[in-house]
Amino acid sequence: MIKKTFLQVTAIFALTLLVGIFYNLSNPKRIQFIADEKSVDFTQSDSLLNALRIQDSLSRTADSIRNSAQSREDSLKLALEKHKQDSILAAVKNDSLKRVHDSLKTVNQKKEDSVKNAQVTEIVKPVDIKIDFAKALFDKKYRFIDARDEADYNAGHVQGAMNIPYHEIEKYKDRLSGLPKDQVYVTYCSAACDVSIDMAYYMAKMGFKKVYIFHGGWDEWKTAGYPAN
Amino acid sequence: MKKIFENKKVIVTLRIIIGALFIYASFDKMSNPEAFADIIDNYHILPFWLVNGLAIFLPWLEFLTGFFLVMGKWVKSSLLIINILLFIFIIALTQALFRGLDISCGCFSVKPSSTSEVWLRIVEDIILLAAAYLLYKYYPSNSNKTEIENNNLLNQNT
Repeated sequence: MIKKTFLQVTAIFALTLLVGIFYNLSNPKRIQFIADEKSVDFTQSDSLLNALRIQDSLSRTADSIRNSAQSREDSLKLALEKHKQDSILAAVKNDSLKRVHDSLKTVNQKKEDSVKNAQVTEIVKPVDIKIDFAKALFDKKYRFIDARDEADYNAGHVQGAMNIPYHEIEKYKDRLSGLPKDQVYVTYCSAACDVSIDMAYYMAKMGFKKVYIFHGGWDEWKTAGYPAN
Repeated sequence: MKKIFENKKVIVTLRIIIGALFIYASFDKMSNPEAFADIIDNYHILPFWLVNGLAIFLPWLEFLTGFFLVMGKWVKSSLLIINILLFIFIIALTQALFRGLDISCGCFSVKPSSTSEVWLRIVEDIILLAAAYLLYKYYPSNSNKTEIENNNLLNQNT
């Protein structure tokens, strides 16, 4: 009896193997028999953070140059007003004003170029990021998406984060579809969770191009004492 | 309990219910192996190289055991596998519950929205395991089966 059961169990397993292999090979949604190892890759996080910092510093420099040029322009305008009767002086000042305009134009051009260069790289595959880059994106007022359930979200979340529970994604799909797809989004959940990853890949599949996964999640954010509701 | 399970109608009904449940549970997983692999991976109990294999073969194992149960063939062997499967499901769900993992059960559907309370799923599986175990225990082997069927026939005649 035991031998018979053992033989039948073996036969069921063998049949399962055969049918499973055949079905998977013929299935349009087939998957690899052995999956690739999933690993969190933070290499882009640091370089993107640096790019963001460079962008900030360039932006600040451009602003200060523009401000000083503006004040120079203002003072020259005043001087021009004051001495408009003096044609020679006016000519000199006009010339200097022109130079200031030129320099201002160059600075603005440089600023635009630097912002373009340093702007967050357009991605399709979600990028794993650390808390420092997540904070930098938060400071830039990019949208955070809390993939946890409503109860967890209500208990505490990143300031201004939008709650789209991944487990109820069908219910919240409209909310997600309403978001512009070329904006930057940061998904997060708790800490030992996968819904932020699932949500990010779900969004990437929907056509969102700049999705970041903040792996530290709410737990790390809260511990760091960053803005929260 | 033995008396209840001596009733052929009870045995057949239970056999078909459990079999049908396993067949039903396998469909969505079969058609969405990638989503099912993600769900298995989220349990964090298997090495990555086993995840896809299980996602491919487990639905078929459920389907075939369910199919054999409904057809009334190789019933004891199918029940043995089902009992082992249910026991593993309960362990997996319980560890997820205690570790506080925010996961989709993947029990009957691979949709993320199929999540319900994990403890409810554990209770469901325990009930199913109890039924499958009792069926396995009291299901007549071929020699006994003929005897019970004869007794039933005798009872019906008298």
